[in-house]
Amino acid sequence: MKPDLYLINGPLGAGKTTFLKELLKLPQYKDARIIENEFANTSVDTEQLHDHHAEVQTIAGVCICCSTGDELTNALELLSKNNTPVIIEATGIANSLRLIEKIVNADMLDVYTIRHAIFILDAIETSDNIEATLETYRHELQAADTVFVSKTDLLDAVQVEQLMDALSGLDLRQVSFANEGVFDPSLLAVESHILEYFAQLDEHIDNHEEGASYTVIDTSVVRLEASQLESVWQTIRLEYGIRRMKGNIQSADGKMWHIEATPHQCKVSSYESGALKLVIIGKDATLVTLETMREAMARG
Amino acid sequence: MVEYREQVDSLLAMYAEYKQLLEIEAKLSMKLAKQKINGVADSDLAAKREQVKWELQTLSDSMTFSNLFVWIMYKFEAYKDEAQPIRTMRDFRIHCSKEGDICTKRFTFVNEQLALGGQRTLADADYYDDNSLLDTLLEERSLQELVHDPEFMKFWRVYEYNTVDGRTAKWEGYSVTA
Repeated sequence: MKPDLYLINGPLGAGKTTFLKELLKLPQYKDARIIENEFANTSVDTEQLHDHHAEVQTIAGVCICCSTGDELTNALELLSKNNTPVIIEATGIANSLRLIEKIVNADMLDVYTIRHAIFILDAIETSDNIEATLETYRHELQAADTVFVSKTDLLDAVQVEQLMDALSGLDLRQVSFANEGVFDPSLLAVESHILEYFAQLDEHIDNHEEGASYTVIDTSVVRLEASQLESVWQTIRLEYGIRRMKGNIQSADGKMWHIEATPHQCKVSSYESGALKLVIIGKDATLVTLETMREAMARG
Repeated sequence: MVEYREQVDSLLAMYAEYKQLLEIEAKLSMKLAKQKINGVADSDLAAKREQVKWELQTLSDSMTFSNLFVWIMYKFEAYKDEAQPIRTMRDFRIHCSKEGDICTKRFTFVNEQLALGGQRTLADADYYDDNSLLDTLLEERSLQELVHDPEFMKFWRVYEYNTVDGRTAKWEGYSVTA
């Protein structure tokens, strides 16, 4: 019997890792192996999965859906030996259908059964421009076995209704909520149709965020207050076209803080340990430095 | 660095060709994957894709840097119009920090040798400012000395042109403790 393969994809900051953490709490996934793909060459998401006792393979610095390397095949081959479910968490710029192409051409369908393809859609970011966002992700939404909409608890009822109405017009397989990663696990029992969807698709498939770059800021050399970072987030986001910031900082009192920022949100939570660095992803991310952040802070 | 211009131009042309081949490979791969799912994989298409993959690998294998200045010049110029440019020392350090990557090994080797000679390493952000342009390294005396050091160049060539059983294996034999 072939092990089950699950795919989790969705835009940057949509809540893929949060969803994965909730999924791993379920008994049937407690031994699942994870392939965590990080666009930047350093991963802060791996640290978030440190409580998971089973193997986590991190592929960092390359998007597995567009890489010509063997990273994904090697990881899949390695993890197939355990006969436990394997879950791939994509980068946030990956295209699920290109990921399918890699899996198929690596002959991994001889090794695994694709059990379920999950797409996490960020309700807040989508609500900014529902029509354009849904068009951008239309094929992936339609290809997904379940679209989980995250962060609807941060919208008002009218906005949620508008979004769900728009989604209902897209002929999606299943749509449900996953606020803070909490979801209905029974939905994952539905057989996957992503291969059939992929095979009949007659359009060119692009990656999302084609022009995205990343940078990694070493925050171990400076003490930063979380409130400063929160206040400066919108400035650097707009100036440099940033889509995502995540990582850890230490404040002057020695406390560590974990930062998760998307265009509309900058979440700060206390943190006990982890590498002191910030990963920043977006159009001109390579231009963001500790100095540019300090300058933005000084400007208020 | 006029003496390296021809080599760098040749590498840039190879990179342009590599990107074109990547596009071809991506299209063939999509088509083949669809055929495989439908159980009608065309062997000609599969062979064509394998051929393009072989060409990509061959091209990649042949892209070697005769010394560290050729490497730096190439990195600076090849990626300048790409989403992830290697414009500054900071960009270069990030590029050279991916665990196990060839450029990380080149970077580490150069730093080891600089440190052995009592020189500041490329990782030293106090000396090589994060925001300084990568091509300013070309004027750096300690690096020029390395390029003219027969012992350094001997090891650079050993790692850069390394093969294992006839297979190109650039920097495979190098580890930080080597």
